[in-house]
Amino acid sequence: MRLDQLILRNLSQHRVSSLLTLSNVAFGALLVSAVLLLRRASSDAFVEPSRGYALVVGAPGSRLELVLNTVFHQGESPGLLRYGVLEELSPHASVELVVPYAVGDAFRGARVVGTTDAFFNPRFPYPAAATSGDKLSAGRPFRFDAAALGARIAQLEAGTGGQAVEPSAVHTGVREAVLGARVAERLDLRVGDAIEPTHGVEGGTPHESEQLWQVVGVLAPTSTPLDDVVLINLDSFFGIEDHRGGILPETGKAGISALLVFPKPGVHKALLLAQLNKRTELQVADVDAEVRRLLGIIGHVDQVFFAVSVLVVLIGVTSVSVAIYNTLAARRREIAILRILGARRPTLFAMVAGEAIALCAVGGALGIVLGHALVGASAGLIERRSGVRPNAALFLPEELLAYGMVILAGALVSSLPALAAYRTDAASGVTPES
Amino acid sequence: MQVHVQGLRHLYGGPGPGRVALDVVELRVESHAKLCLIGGSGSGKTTLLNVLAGVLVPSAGEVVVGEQSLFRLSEAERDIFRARHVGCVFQTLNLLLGLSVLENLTLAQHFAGISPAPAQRRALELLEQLGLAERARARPVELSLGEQQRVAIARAVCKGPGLLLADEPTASLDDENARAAIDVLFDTCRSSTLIVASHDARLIERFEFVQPLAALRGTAG
Repeated sequence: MRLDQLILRNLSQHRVSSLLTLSNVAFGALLVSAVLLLRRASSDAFVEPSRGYALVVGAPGSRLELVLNTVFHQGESPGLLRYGVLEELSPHASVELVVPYAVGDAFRGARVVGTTDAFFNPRFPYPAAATSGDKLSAGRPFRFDAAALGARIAQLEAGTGGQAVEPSAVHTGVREAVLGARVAERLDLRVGDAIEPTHGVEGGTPHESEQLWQVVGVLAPTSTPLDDVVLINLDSFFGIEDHRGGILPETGKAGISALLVFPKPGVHKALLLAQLNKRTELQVADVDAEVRRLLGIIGHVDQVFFAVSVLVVLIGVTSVSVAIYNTLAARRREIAILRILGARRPTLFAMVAGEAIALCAVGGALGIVLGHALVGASAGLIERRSGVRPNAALFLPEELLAYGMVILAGALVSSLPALAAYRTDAASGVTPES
Repeated sequence: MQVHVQGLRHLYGGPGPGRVALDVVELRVESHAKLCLIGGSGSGKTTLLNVLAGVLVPSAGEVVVGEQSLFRLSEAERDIFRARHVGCVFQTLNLLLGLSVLENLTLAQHFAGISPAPAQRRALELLEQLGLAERARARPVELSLGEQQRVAIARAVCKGPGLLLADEPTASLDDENARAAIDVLFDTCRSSTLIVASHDARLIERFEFVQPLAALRGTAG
C-alpha cells in the first residue's frame, strides 16, 4: 500500500467530513470560474467587436451611449444628427470612409439599420474581406441609389417648409435587405424571402402601411453584434412613412442616427477629433477610449465579485484544514500506530498535507467544471439580460492559475494539521502503561 | 537478533527528579530466544518494550539490537531500523480500522521497504496459514476479537522481523482465543527473537525463559 492509497483510504474513512469540505472548496472555485468566464465574456463583448472602428459622430449627448448604440447596437440613440454632416465629412481630407447609420426599426427582435453601400467597402472592418462581395456568405449587397436617397431627403425636408418636390420626381428606389448571420440562422431566412420591419428598436408597432423588404444577401459571420442586425438601404429607410418624422425640429433638416468615420492613417484621427470636438451641434466619440472607459466601470464591479469569490475559496480551503485538524485528535492513535510500524515523521506530514491537497485539488477541479456548467446553463438568460453571451466551453489560463493557487493554498493551510501529525509521539496513545 | 540492554533508566515527569519508570541494570536476550517479561502494573514492562522498539528514548543507558546501538541512531534512522527489523504486537491490537486486513499487512511491509507484489504474496500466505484468507478484504471491525489478534500478530511478523515485541497480547482474550493467539505467536516467529511482556499465566507457562522485571533493577532504583 502506497502513501497515495493511504490518503484515499483516510479520506474515504471520513467521507462525510471530506465531502462537506470538498464542497466548500468546489463552491468557491465555482464562483471564481464563473466570475472569470463572465469577465472574459464582457471584455470580449466590448473589446473584440470594437476593433477596427475609430470615430462615431452623432447628436450631442453621452459619448458612451453613442458608441453603445452604434457599435454594439445596444440602448437608445442619443438623437438625430443633421444628414448634411455626412456630405460634409465624406470628402474631408482626413477621412477615408464614412458609413451612416439610421436606426429605429426592428424585425422580430433584430435591429434594423439603414445604411449605404459604404457599409460594404472593404475598409469597413466587418465582415473582414478584400471585396464587398466577400463580405456576404450568400447573395449580394443591397442596391443603394444615391439619387433616390437625395430625392427622399429633399421630399422630407420639403414637408417641413423646405422646397417642394413633385412626387413624380421622387425615385421609387428598391427595398432590399441584407441580414446578419445570426438573424438569418435564428429566423431561418434566406435570400429571396421578404421581411417587414416594425417601428421601434424593440420591435414595437407595425408601420402605417405594409412595406416589405426583399432579402438579397446574408453577411458572413463576424462574432460581433452585426450578426444580429438587419441592414437595409438608407434610401428605403427614409421611404418609410413614419420616418418622415426623422427631421431635426430646430432646422427642418433630415437627420440620421450616427456616422461611423474611418480616418486616414497617421495623425488624421487626432485632427478629426480636434476639429469635430469644437462643434456644438454634434459630438464625436473615440471608440477605443469609450470602450476603455466602459470596461473601467465594469472592471470595478467584477473586481468586487472576484474578491468575494476568492474569499469564498479561501474559506473553503481553510475549512479543509480545520476539518482535518479536528479529526486529528481522534486519529492520534492511528498516527502513533503508523509511527510504530515505521512511518517516518515526514511521511505523516505528507500524508496529512496530501489529504488537504487532494481535497483542494478535487474540490477545485469539480468547482471549475460546475462553474462552466452553470455558466453554460445560464448563458441564454445572461445574453437576454445583458446582451453578452459567455462561452462556457472556453477554459481560461486564469482558471488554471486559480486552480494552482487553490492547491497551493491547500498545501499552506494544511501545514498546521500536518505539523501536528508530524509531532505525534509514537509511544503515546498506542499502549496503556504497564 | 540479539538484544543487549545495559544501565537503562527512564524517568517520567519532565525536568527535575522524575518518577523512575524503568530501571534495568542489564538484560541480554540471545538471538531466536523467546523471553517473557513479567511484572505487575506500572512495573515498566511497556516502557521497556517501547525503548526496545526505539520509539521511546530512555533517560540513560544503552540498547543494542543485533549489531546496532539503537540510540546512537538518529530518529529517522531508528524509524527505518524499526520498520525493517522490529515487529510490535499490542495489547489493544491497534489495527488500522480504515484499512482491510490485507492492507494492514501490506502497509507494514511497505514501510519495511518490501515492494507491493511480494508484500501481498507474503501477506496472503500468512493469512492462509492463520486461517484468515477469506477475511483478507474485511475491515478489522468485521472480525472477532480473536481474529483481530491473529491479524495483529500477522502484521507484526509478515515483514520477517529479527525482533518481535508483544505487549500483553492475550490480556483481552478468552481462553480459547488466548491459546490460539499464543500458538500463532510461537508458530510465526520461529526465526525471530521474541520478547513478550505479560502477567497472563496462560502465556507465561509456554515460555522457557521468564524474567521478572523487578529482578533487573539496580539497587539505586
